[in-house]
Amino acid sequence: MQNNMKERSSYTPYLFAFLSLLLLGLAFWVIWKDEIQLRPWKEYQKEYKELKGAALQAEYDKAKKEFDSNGNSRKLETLQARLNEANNIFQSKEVQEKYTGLVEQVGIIEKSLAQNQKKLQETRGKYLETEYLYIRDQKEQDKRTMQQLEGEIEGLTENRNVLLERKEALQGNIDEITGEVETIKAEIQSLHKGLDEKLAAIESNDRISPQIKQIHIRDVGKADRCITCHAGIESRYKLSDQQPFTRHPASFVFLENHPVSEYGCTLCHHGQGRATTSPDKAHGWVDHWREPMLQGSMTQSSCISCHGDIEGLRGAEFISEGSKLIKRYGCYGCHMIPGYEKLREIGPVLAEVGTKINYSWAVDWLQDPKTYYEAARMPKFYLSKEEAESVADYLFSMTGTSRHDTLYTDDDIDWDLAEKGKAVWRQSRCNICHTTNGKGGNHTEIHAPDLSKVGSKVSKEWLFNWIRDPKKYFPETKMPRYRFSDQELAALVEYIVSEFQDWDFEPEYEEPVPIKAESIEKGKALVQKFGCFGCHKLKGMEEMQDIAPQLRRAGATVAGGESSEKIGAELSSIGSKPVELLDFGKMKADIPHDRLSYVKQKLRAPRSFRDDLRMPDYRLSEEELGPISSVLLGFTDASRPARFIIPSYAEIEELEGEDDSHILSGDFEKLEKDIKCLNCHKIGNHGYNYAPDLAIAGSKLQEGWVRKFLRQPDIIRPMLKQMPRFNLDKQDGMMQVNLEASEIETVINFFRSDLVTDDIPVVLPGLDDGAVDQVLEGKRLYDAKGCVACHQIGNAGGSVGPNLSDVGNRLTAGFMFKYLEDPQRYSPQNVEPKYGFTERERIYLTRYLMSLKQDQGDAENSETRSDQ
Amino acid sequence: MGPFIEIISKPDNIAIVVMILMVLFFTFWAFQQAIKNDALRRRGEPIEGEFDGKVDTWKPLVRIEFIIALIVFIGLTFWSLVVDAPLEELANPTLTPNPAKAPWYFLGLQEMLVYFDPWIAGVVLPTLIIIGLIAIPYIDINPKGNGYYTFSERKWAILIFCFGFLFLWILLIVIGVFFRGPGWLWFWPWEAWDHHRVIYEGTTDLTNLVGIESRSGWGFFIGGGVVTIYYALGMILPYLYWKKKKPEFLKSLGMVPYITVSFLFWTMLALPIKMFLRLVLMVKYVWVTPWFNI
Repeated sequence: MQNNMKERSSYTPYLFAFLSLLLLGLAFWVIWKDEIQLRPWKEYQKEYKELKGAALQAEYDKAKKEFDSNGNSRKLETLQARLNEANNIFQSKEVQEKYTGLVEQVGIIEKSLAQNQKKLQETRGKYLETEYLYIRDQKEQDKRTMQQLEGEIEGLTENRNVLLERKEALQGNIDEITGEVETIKAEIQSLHKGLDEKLAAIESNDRISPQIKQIHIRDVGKADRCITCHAGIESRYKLSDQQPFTRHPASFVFLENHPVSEYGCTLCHHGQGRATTSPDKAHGWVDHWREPMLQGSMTQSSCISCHGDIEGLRGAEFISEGSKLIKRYGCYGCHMIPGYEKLREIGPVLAEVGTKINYSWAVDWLQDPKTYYEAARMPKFYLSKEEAESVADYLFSMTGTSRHDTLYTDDDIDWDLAEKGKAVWRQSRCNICHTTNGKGGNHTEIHAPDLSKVGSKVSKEWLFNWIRDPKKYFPETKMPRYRFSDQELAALVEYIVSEFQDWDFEPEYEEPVPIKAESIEKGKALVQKFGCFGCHKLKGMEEMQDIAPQLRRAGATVAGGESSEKIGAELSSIGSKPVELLDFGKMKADIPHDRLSYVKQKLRAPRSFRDDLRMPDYRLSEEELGPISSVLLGFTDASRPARFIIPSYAEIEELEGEDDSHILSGDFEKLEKDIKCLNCHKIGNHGYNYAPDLAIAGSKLQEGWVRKFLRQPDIIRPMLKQMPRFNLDKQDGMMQVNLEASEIETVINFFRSDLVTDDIPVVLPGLDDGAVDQVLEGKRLYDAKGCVACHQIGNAGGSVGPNLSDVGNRLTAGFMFKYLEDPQRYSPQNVEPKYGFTERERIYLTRYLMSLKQDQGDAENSETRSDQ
Repeated sequence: MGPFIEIISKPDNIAIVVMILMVLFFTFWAFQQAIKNDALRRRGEPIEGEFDGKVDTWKPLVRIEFIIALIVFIGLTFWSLVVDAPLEELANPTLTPNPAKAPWYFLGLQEMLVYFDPWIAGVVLPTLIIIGLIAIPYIDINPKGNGYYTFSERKWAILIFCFGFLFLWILLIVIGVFFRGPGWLWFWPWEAWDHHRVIYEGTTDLTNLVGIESRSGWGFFIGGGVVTIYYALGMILPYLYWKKKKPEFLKSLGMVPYITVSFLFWTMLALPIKMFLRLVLMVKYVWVTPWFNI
C-alpha cells in the first residue's frame, strides 16, 4: 500500500507543473479575450483617429501652403523685425528703469489693496453677525454696533476705490511702455491664428484615447453605445466610405432634426445599442434579440412611432408610399390599423349591383379581377366558378330573381349619338381620373375604375342614371355630378358603351335564368366568410362586424376591444409581435423566421401559409411589399415620451375641438359635395394634391379671373393637369337645367370669406421714389434675374414655372409681393429659388407682373393652343 | 439527423453530453476493475488497494484533491472562454417557452411528471430519494468493497444502484433533454421539433380497464387495494424467501431496516412499472383519491 502511494507521488510534481502552466496560459487567454477580442471598438477608434488625423494634417498642410503662397511669410518676417526693434527699445536701460519703477509702485498698491480687502471682509462678517443678533434680540446696543460697522465699511470702500484708481493710472503708464511690443505680438498671432487652430485640432485629436461612448436617454430607457464604433456619424468630413466610419446619410433631414445627443440611435434604428463586443451583437443580428437593426429605407418605419402624419414628411418617402398603398388597397377594411380608422370602404356600394352589371361579368370578376383589368385593386379570393356564381347570385338576389346579361352589339348603337358623346367625354376630361386602354388616370389617388371594357360590364340605363346623379346610387362616391342635359347624357352613355367594349366577353345569360335559393344562401355565407363588407357596403350587412359573432370569434386574434369588430387580425402592434407568435403555419416556401419576412410573405402570397386562410391575394409587386411592410412594422407597442410626439393634423384638430368635417360651409359646401372640388384641390388638410392648393385662394387670386376661369377653365400650367368644365354658366350653352349662375358667386363668396389670410396685404405698400417707372424697373429685374428661364411670357420662356402672360389678371398684387419674398412660404415643395429681393425690388417686380394682362381675345388663343 | 445534431450542439446541452460520456466511462471503468478484482479473489491473490490500515490525509489525499481541483478549474475556465452563456430572450409572462424545461439535472423529475401526479412526482418521490440516500449507511451492512472495486461481493447493492441511478436518473435526464420536444411530446432524433404537432393519447385509469369508474367508491377501494397488495406482497414474499434461505442475513439487518429497504426498493420499481402501464396499457392512474393519485 505504502509503495503504491510513493509511486503516485513520483509523477505528481510534473502533473502539477503541467497543470499550472496550462492555467497560466488560460489566464493569458482570458486577458487577451477581455482586452482585445471583446473590445473590437478599440481598433475602430484607433483607425478612425488615424483617418481623422490624416484629414486634419492634410487640411493643415493645405492651409500652410496657402499661407506661404500668399506672401504671408514675408509679412511675418517684417513683423518679426519690427518686434525685435520694439523689443530693443523696451530693453534699453532708460525705459527699463522707468518700467521697473512703475511695476514696483503697482506692487505696493496691490499690497495695500489686499490688506484693505481683508479688513473689508472682516468688517462685513462682523456686520452680518451683528445684524443677525439684532434681528433676534432687538437690542439697541447691537443697532449701534451695526451703524458703527456700516461707517467703517464705507470708509474702507472709499479707500479701496482710491487705491484702484491709482493702480489704473499706473497700469496706463505701463501699457504705454509695452504697447508697441504687445501690438506687434498680437498682429503676428492673428496672422497665425488659422494655422494655430488647425494645429491645435491635430494635437487634440492625438490626445484622444479609446473609450466607450454612450448616449443615455433617460425617459426612453435607452443607452446607445453605437458612436463608440461609428465615431464619424456626425462628422462634417467624409473620411471614409468604409463602415463604421461613414457619415449619416442625408443628415440634413435626419440628424439635424433628431440630434444624436437627444435621440440616440436605436430609437429609430433598433438593434442592441448597449452591445459593444461584436458588430453582429450590436446590430441585434443575434438570436433572441427582438429588434434587429433597421437599415436603409426600412428605418423609416420608426417615424410612425412619433410622427402623426407620414405623407409629405421629408425623409419618410418610403413609408409614405406604403401608406398610400394601404389606402389604395384598403387594408383597413378588414384589419384594424391605427390612423386609418375613419377612412371609408374602398369598394363601391353593392346594394343594387344586380341592376348595374352583367351576371357573367360578375362571375368572371369574382374569380379573378385581373382578367378584366390588369391593375384591378380587388384581390383574388381563389373562388371556384361555382362559388363565384353563388356570390353573384346572392348579390343579384337583392334586386331581382334572375341571372341576366345585357350585351350591346353594333346594331344596338346609335353611332351619330356616340360621335356627339365623344365630344362630351373629351370636354369633361373623364380621363383625368378614369383610365381607358392605358390612357389617362393621371390623378392616381382617386382610384376611379378603369373604363376600357365597361361597355361589357354595365347596362346603359344604369350608366345613364349614374352619371346623372352618382350620389343617388352611391352616397359616398368621389364621382362629381356633371350637370349634363339628358341629351348629353344619352350621347355620353352611347359613346362609352360603343367605344369601351370587351370583344372577348362571352355572356352566358342573355336569356335570364332564375336564381336558386340554396345558391343565395351559399353566396351569403361566402360573403360573410370572406368579409366582402370590409370594402363594399352591402345591404343588410352594414353592421355586419357587430352582428356576426361567429365572424368575430373566427376573425379576431386578440380577445375583446374594438379589434374584434374587424375580420382580419389587428395590426396596431404588429411591429412588436414576437416572432414566436406569428403563425408560420404549414409554410412551404423557405423564408427566414423573422417579422419582416413574415409580413412580406403574408402580403406576397397570403395563402401560402395555409390553404384555408381567408386573406385574399392582392398580387402585389415586389416593389410594393417593402413600403407596405415598413408601415406595418412601424406599429409597435413602444411608447415614446411626449416630447417626441408630433400629433397628426387630424389629432390636433380633434384636440382643439374643431369639427373636422366642417372646413367648408354654407352653399359652397353643398356645391362641393356635388362637383367634388376637393377631388383635385386641397383646402387645409382636406382634398388631394392633384390641382393647386386653394387654402389662400381668396387672397391669391383675383375675383374676375376666378369667375372667368370657372366659366372657361384655361390652362395655366403647361402640364397635363386640366380642370374639367362643370358647366357652371348659362352662357356656355351646355347648361344643366336647374343651375343658376349664382353658383359661381357662391364659389367667389366662399373664396373671399374663408380662403383668405391676413398674411397677404390687400394693397401694395406705397413707395416714395419719385419719377422712377416702377413697371420698367420691374421688367429690368425680371430680365436680370433670368426669370425667363422658367416662366413664359407670350411665346418666349421656359416651361418649368407657370405661364405669366396673363398673370396680371390672375393673381393679386399682395400675393405676388409676399410670394416673391419666400416662394416656399405657401407651399414648401415649390422649386422657385429664394432670390432675397428687397422690399423695393419686390414692389417693382409685382408692379411689372401686374402689368402683364391679356385681353379676352388672347385668352381664347391660349385655349386653342392648349388643345394641341 | 439534422435536428438531433442541432440539439446536441446547443450550448445548453454541453453539460449533458459531457455527463453521458463521463457516466459511460466511469461505469465501464468500475466494472472492468471489479471483474479483474473478482478474478483475483477467486484465485486467492491479493487485490490492489485493499488494506486494513489507514492513510494520511496530508499529503496523499490532499495532493490528489488539489490536482483534481486544478483540472476542474482549468476545465471550467476553458469552457467559459469558448462558450458564451446561453442566454435567451427577455422573459415575457405572456409568452412562455415551449418546451418549458427544468434545469438539466431536474429533467428526470420532470419526466416523472408524465407518469405520476405532481404531488407524487414532485414532492413525495424526491423526498424519498433524499431519505433513501441518508439511510444508506444504516441499511448497507456489507463491509466489503472498501478501497477497491468488486461486483461479486456486493451484487445486490451495485445492481440496485445501477438501475436507480443509470436508468431511472441519468436515462430520464437524457430523455428529457434529447427526446422531449414542444408540448413534452416524444420526438425521435431524426424528427424535427414541430410546434404544431398534434397527438391523441386516450389514457384511462386502471380500474376503468375492468369497467369500474376510478372515481367511484369501488374504484377507490380497488385502486387502493392494488397499491396495498403491491407493497404487502413486495415485503412479505422476500421476507419468507430469506427466512428460509438466509435467516442470519435478516437477523443481522434487523426488522426496521428491512422494511425501509423493502419500501424504498418497491417504490423505486414503481416508476418503471408505472411507465410500462402508461406507455403500453395507456393507464393514467392506478389509484385515484381526492388528495393524490398514484
